[in-house]
Amino acid sequence: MNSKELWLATGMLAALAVFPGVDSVRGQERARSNGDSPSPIEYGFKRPSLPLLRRGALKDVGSVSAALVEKLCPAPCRHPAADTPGNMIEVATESWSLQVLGDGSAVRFRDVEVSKRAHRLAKSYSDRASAAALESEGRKFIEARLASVIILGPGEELVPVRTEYRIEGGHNLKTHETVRSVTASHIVFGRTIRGTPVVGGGSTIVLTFANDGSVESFQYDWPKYEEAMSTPRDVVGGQEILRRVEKVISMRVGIPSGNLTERKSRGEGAATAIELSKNMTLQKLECGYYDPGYVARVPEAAVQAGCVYHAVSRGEHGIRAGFAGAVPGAVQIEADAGWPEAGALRRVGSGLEQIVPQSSRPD
Amino acid sequence: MTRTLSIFGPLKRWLFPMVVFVVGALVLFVEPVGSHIFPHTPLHVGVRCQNDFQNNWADTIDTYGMCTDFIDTIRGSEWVDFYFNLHGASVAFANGNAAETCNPCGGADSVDFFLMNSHGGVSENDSAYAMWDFQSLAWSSAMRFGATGQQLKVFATYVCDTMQTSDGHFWDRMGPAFRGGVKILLGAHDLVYDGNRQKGTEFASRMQDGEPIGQAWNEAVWYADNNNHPSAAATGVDANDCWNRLGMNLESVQTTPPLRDRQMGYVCWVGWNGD
Repeated sequence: MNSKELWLATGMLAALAVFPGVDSVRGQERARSNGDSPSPIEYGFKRPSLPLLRRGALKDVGSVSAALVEKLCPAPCRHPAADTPGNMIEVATESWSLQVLGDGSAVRFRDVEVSKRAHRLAKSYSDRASAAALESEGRKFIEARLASVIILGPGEELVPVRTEYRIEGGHNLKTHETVRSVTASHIVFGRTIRGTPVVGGGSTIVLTFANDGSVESFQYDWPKYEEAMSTPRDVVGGQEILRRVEKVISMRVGIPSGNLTERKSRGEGAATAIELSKNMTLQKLECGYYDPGYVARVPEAAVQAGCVYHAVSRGEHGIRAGFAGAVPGAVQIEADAGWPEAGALRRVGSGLEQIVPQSSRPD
Repeated sequence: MTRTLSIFGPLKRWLFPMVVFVVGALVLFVEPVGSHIFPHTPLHVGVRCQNDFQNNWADTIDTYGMCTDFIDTIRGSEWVDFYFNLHGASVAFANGNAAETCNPCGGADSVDFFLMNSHGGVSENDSAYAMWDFQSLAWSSAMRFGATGQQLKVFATYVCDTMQTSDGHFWDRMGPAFRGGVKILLGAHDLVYDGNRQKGTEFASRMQDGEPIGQAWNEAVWYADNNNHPSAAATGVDANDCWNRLGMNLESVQTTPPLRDRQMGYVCWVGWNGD
């Protein structure tokens, strides 16, 4: 074990001692989760340093569109109509539509016919497709239809991230009978690069299956990554990550971070949630390469280490609000105009400032 | 010759401004429908969002990003009547209050489609929406949408919990709002998280593509953050009618007749991440 690994291990052990709710077995990387159980707080990095990555498209938008249409609508395909509204190519027939966005790394597909019949195929929750079955069907679909656009680079793996279910419910106002059923299932795949996951929404493939096994829709964000520079960047330890989360949340809510110092394990909902303050609970923290995906990111920014946080504030009368964002995970934070927390933490030291979204305020 | 010129001279002077006016009117006042947008009659849309709250009575969140992106997209096909904050706004949701149907006041029943982004919560018989004013909440028990004014058709709220169904009290909380005839409620049955402003764009563009409004909401909100818990609800005379009505899009939500009070026999909902 070299000095950096020793330092990291010591830091993690110290963090685990401070935050006893964090499960040491699950404490370092994003793990598989599903809709059945809350995900644990997971923080930290497997490696003491990570390279900066440059994100690019695997193919140009026209090639992606042509490759997908060939697989989704093999000959004789009924004359799909192509259009270019805004920053995308849209190909559609009466029964399905395909949108390839921007540089070709983001795609949405929807089969209207499958969507229409999904309600009639409703199943009870206990009969829903299992996570294992969804993963298996998902991998088959990707291999059969998306292999030309979902390409893994050296050291990369396609990993299942979560499953979710679309629940329908109904209540008869006369008899007061209530029914519930499952009408579709999501399987979400992500990517790891030499064991480190990509977090933040980029590098995900979401497949939606109706209960007859048909694909109702899929949506993916799947770029290629190249190392932007040869020298890896050191990443920070678990305590520093939590300190950064605390800092950006204090900036966001406009409260000095000194008031957000009491951290306690909290057994409410997710067994491993961490109490950041009296009314604020950190529910989830996932670390890896931070990439929010084509739609949300600034194209020229490098992909750097980061941790996605989900926190909840509880106020008067039980009202709640969810906070989501990401903090940089490297010691040296790179500039990223599309990442407000990165900008704010780079400016720390110049005094507390509130993070204000770049958007117009209402009258 | 001179006489002819004297007749057409004034006309020529008027002709150019008149052409400019007519063309301008066509561009500005005829239906704001883009080329790729499915054909429908434009709706009147109102948006009210709030980041910060008086004396920090509720934590500051990022709502304006989503609201701005929603407006920037939806104005390509609908009339955006107002974009207001939630200062003194509880009256805009209160049945019988003059502000409810007042468009310059940001009243919910003064538009066809209303979007709000704020904090939210529930009690056994009420859903609560945070206003800017200190500890001010708009309560669902005081709502009755769709009966007066412009007759609200869609009430969309990016707030936590207000469409909770898991405890069996959904109708106790949202029944009063539905009884006025509002056709679709959009919201969350548990937590939704701020940030990821692109959900505003995606929600609007999916509706403009002709997708069912409820589906557009559930998909846009879930894809923006897989930890979100979006939900959509409608009513019907019976179960079949309810499920059909939950499939309404921007056109059919205007042509489908409202159901009020005892006309409703069923309420149905759909959402991701449990219920």
